[in-house]
Amino acid sequence: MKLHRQQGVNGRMGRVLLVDDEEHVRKPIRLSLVKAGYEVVEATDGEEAIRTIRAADNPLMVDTIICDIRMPNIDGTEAIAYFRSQFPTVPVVVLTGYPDVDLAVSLMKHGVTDYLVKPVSWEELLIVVQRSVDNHVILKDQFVA
Amino acid sequence: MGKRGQRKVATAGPSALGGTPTQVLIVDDDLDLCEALGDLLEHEGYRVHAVGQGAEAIQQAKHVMYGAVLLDLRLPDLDGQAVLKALTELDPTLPVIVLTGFPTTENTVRSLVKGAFACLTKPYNPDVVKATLRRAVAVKRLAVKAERVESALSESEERFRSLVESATDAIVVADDKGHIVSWNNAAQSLFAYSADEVIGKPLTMLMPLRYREAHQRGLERVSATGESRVIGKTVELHGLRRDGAEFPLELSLATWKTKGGTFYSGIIRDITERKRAEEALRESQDRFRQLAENIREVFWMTDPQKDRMLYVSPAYEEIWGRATDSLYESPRSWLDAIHTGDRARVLDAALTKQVAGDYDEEYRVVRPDGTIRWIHDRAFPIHDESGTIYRIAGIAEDITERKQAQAALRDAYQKTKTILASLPGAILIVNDQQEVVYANSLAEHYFGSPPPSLVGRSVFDILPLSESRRFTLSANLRSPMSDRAKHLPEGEFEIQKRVYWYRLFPVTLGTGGRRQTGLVIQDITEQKLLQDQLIQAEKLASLGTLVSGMAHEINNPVQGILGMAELILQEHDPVIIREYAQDIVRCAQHTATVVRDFVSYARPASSGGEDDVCLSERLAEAVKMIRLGPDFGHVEVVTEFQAAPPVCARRGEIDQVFLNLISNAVQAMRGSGRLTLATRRLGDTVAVQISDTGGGIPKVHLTRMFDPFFTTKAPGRGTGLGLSLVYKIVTKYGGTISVDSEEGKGTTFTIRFPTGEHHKEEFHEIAQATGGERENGTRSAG
Repeated sequence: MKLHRQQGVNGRMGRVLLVDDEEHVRKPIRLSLVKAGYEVVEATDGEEAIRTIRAADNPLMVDTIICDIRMPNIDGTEAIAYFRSQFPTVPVVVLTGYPDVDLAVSLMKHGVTDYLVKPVSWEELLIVVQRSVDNHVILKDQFVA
Repeated sequence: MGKRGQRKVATAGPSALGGTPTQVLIVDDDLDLCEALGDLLEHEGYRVHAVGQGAEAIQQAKHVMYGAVLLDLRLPDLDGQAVLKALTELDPTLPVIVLTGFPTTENTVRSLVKGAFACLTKPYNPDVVKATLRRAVAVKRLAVKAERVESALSESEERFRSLVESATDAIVVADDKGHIVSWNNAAQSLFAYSADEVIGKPLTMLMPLRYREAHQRGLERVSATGESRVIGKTVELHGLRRDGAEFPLELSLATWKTKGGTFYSGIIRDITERKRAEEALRESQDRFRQLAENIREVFWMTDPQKDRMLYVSPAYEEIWGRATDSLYESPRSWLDAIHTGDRARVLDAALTKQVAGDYDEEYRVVRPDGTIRWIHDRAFPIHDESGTIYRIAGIAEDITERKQAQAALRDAYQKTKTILASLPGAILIVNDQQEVVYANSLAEHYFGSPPPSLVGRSVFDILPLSESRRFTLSANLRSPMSDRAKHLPEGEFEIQKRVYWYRLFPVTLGTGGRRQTGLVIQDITEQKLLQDQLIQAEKLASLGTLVSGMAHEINNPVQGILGMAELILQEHDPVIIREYAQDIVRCAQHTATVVRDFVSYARPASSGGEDDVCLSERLAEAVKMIRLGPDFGHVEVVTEFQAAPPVCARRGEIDQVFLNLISNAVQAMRGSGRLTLATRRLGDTVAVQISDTGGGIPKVHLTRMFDPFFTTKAPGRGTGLGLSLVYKIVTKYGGTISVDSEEGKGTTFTIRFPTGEHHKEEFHEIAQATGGERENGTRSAG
C-alpha cells in the first residue's frame, strides 16, 4: 500500500547507494534492487562512496545507503560517520560479514537504520530497504513542500 | 805454710818446755867425740842422743822433739849438707849447729845459707859449744813459745772459720782494694765459684755490670772519708752467678780495721724465693685490682650492716652514672638510683638475703640522664676465722642489652609464631628422619585431624605423594638443599578431591647448624579450577578472533551465493541462470579455500610432537589469519625475513605466540600503522621481531605485562593470559623475550629461540632449572 502511494512521487521507487568492495556481494543485490524498481548507484569502498554522493547533482536524491564495514581505503565505519554528519537525513543500512554486537550498538548510536549480518536473504533486505527509502521519501516530500 | 809443721811439733812434744831436760841430738861417726861431747852436755843438763849416720839422724828428728842438733858434715852414709837440708825442712825452727873438722869458707857459708844455726870447728872449744848450744836452745824455746801463741790464735780462727763455713748465708771478706780474701761454703754454692777461683779476685766479679761503677766509687769514698752509705745496713741488690745469671740478694756489710788495713765483710742472703713470694703477692693484688677495675661488672664490698662501703669498682660510675666517691660517702646511695618500683624489694633482699648468701636480684636503675639500665646483682657473705660474717661482697652486672636481646628474641618468636599461625599456607618442617618437627595451625587443620598432632609423625604418612615426588622429597630430606638453591622443588597432591600445591624450602638451624626441609603447602583447589576456566577462556578468545575473521571471509561469498540463488529462482533465461550459477561456484570455491586455510592453521600439529618450524613462515601465516580479523584495518605489513635455521618446537605453540603478539600489535595500531615482522640469525639463536607503530606500553605496565591475568583491556575483551602464555611457551623452548616500548611511538617484541638440535637438551635443562623464574632484565628491556 505504501509502496503504491509512494510510487507516484517522481515516478520512481527511490535511489540506493550500494557500498561494498566485493563484486559478488554487490551483483545479486544490485540486480534484485533494480528488478524491484530501485535506482542503484555503486561504490567499491568508503572513499568512492563519499565522492559519489558529493558529486551527485543533489545529494538528497540518494534515499538509502547500504554499506559494508570492512573495505580498503576508507572503511565502512569512517564512511558512515561522514554520511551521518553530512547527510543526517539519509538512512544508512549496514551490511557486514562480522556478527559484532559492540560494533552494531556503536553504529546504531550513530544513527544507522539497521545492522544486517551477511548472509541476508533478499526478502529480509528488501523490507529494510523499502522502509528506509519510504521514510526518506516522506521526509523529502515534507522538505520540498 | 809453716803452720802445719809447727802444729805437729806442738802436739808431739809440749813437755819440752815443761821442766823436762832439753834433748840434743849429736850426729857424728866419731864415737869418741860423741861420748865426750855427750858427757859435756849431759853435764850441762841436756839429754843427749847420739847417732853415727845421717839417715838415722833424719829418722830420729822425725820422732823426737830436739832442742838443737850438733851435726858433723862428714858422715859415712850421707853428705852433711843434705842432712842439714833435710833437718831444716823437717823443722825450720830446729837449730842445727854444724861441726866440721875441715873448716872451709865455702862449707861454712853453704851451711849457714842452708839454715845452720852456727858453724863450729873441730876440735871444739867446749865453752864455745856450750854457749852456742845455749843460744840455740833458747832460740828454739822462743820459737816454740811463739808457736803456742800462734796456735791459740789459730784455734780461735778455726772456730770462727767453722762458724763461717757452716753459715747458711754467704760470707765474703774483702780487703780495702775490694779483693776477696775469704769465701765460705755458702758463698760457693750461692755464686757457684770455688774459693780458689775467687780468692784475690775483685768483688766486682760477683755483681752485674750496672753495679760495678757504684761499687768502685763507694770503695774510694770509704777509703778517702771513712764514710759509707751501706756499711751497717742491709741492702737489696742483685748478684751475678758464675753462669751469668742474676739473682736478688740481701747484703749486710761490715768493716773493720787491722794493722794489715781495712777489711770488709759481707753477709749475703739469696732472696730469690722471698722476691718471688713478694712478686706473687703483688701480682695477685694487681690481678684483683685489674680485674675489679676493668671488668664491666661492678664489684663491691660492704660491712654486714650495709653502713659502710669498703670497696666499689669503677664500673659503678659507668653503669649507675654516679661517682664512686658518692657511694663511699653515703653507702646506701646506690639504692636511691634504683627504680621506685624495685627499690623496696631490693632493699629488703639486701638486708636479709645478702647475709644468707642467696641474694640474687634483678632491678632497674635510673641514671641521672634518665636512662634506665637493668642490673643483675648477686652477693655472698665473707667469714673471718671465727666464722662470723665480717664482710659482704657482691657483683652487679649491667644486663640491659641482654634484657633487650631477650625481649627482641621473644618478640621475634611471637611474631614468627603469629605469622606462621596466620599464614594462608600450611607449613611443615621435616627433619632428616622424615619426621615432622613443626606444623603450623593450618597444617594441623588440613592434615592433622583426627589427632594426634602432626609433630613426630612421618611426613609420608601425612601427605599422599606420588612415587616420583616421594623420591624427590626423601632425597631432599637426606641432604637438604642449600639456602641459595635456585630451583626449589614443588609439586601437587590430592587429598579427598582437594588439590594441594607444595614447595620445599631449606631451613637452617643456628649458624652453620643442621639443615631441615620445610614445606609450604597451599590448597589450590579453587585456584586450579579458576585457572583451568580462564585458560579455556583464553583459548576461546583467540579462537573467537579467528572465527570472526573466518566469518567475514565466509559470509561475503555466502551472501553472493544466497543472492545469486534467489535470483536464479525467479529467472527463466538459461543463459542468465548459467551466469549466476558460475558466480555461485566461484563464491563456494572461495568459501572452501577460506575454511581450508583456517582449519590448517587452527588444527593442532601432529599431536605433541616437535618439528622443525620455520619462524618466518609461521609469522606470515599468523599475519594472514589476523588480516582476516576485524581490527586489521589499513595496517601496512612489512616483512624483513632473513634466512634463518628452523627451530625445533611444536608448531601450534609457536603459532600461539605469534598470533598473540601480532594481534596485540594490530590492536595497538587501531586500524592504521606499520607492522614490521623480522627474522634473523643472531649467533646460536634466531631472533624474531614484531614491531608496531601503536600507542606503546606505559612504563608501569612493562614489569607486569607477563603476569597471568594482568590486562588493560575492558572486562570481557581479554583474559590477561595471552602474554603469560607467550612467556611460558618461549621459556619452555629455552628462549628469551624482551620488549622495547615507547609511549606514542610503538612497541617492539624481540624473541630469541635457540637453534639446532644440539642445543635442545641444554636449553631444556636451563628451562627446567630456572623453573619459570623470570629475569627482569630480559622481560622488560625498558
